[in-house]
Amino acid sequence: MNKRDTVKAALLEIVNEVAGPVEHLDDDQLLVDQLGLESLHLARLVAVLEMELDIDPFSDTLPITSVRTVGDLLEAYDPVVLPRLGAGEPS
Amino acid sequence: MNLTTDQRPVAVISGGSRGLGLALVTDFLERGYRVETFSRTESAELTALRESTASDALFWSSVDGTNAEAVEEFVRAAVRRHRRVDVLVNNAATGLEGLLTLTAPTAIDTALQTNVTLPVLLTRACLKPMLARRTGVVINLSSINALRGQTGVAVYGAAKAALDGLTRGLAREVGPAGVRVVSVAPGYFDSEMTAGIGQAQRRRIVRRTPLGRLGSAEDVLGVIRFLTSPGASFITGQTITVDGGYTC
Repeated sequence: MNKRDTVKAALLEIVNEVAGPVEHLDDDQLLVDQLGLESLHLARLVAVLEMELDIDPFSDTLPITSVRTVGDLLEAYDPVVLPRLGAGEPS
Repeated sequence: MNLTTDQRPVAVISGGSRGLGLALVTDFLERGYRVETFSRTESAELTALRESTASDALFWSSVDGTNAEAVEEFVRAAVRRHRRVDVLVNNAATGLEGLLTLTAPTAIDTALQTNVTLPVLLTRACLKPMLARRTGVVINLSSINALRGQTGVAVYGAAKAALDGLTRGLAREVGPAGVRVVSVAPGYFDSEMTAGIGQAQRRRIVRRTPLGRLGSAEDVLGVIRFLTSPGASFITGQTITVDGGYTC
């Protein structure tokens, strides 16, 4: 299971507890307003993921308050490195 | 034994090389816990205990409690090893006696780091596996000096009162996730920290104690045994005083 799948599986488990059976999560779903998570649920999710992945992206500079959507959460654990503008073009 | 499938509970105890800490380590081991403890240096008593204990039951590390990164790494290693923490006992503390204006600021800073910052950081780190498993107990070793004023221990009392505040705040914060937080406030009991008390003061303490004696480590252990048992599953956010009635 890759990092994003691990994060999604852990999130889905907690969302299922909080909001009842949910089969699919969309990247643009809001964690608090749409999925019903409270701060303690997020703290638990971060704790579960630290045990699974041995990382806590929020322990240093990235604030948990910057995470609003499912996509934000996935990005926090596994940032997509975007190609630099102009990369690959002859200089 | 495969540690990842080991079902024995895990206790993290700060300052387990001497005194009450060592008694706590021994007691938790006897109750079937695996124990993770640290201290700056290892005592002869702890060395002997480690030699007579199964190597997968007792783990000790040399950690300077004022080094935040070292403290966090100690817990990370414990969690990697056991995948759980069931009990944290914030036992490590340093005494500080003297009139405030005659106490060096560096000594105050060190005392606050050991008696407040260390337990806060340890609790933060140990709460993670507790939240993940939706169960756990944090025991903060407080003192009657947090409840009653006493000349010469204002900073010590302030630090212990801070721990009681931590207990109450966290109990509300993590109670919904199944984690309990309790303070235990011993009175005067025979320990290295009270070894300097003179005979006259000792007699005065005993005279003022309704139960007529100083406490013992066993008096404190008994309460911690109860607080970490199923019988205490509805107790959180409280400070339990163990002082023979001295403060009543």
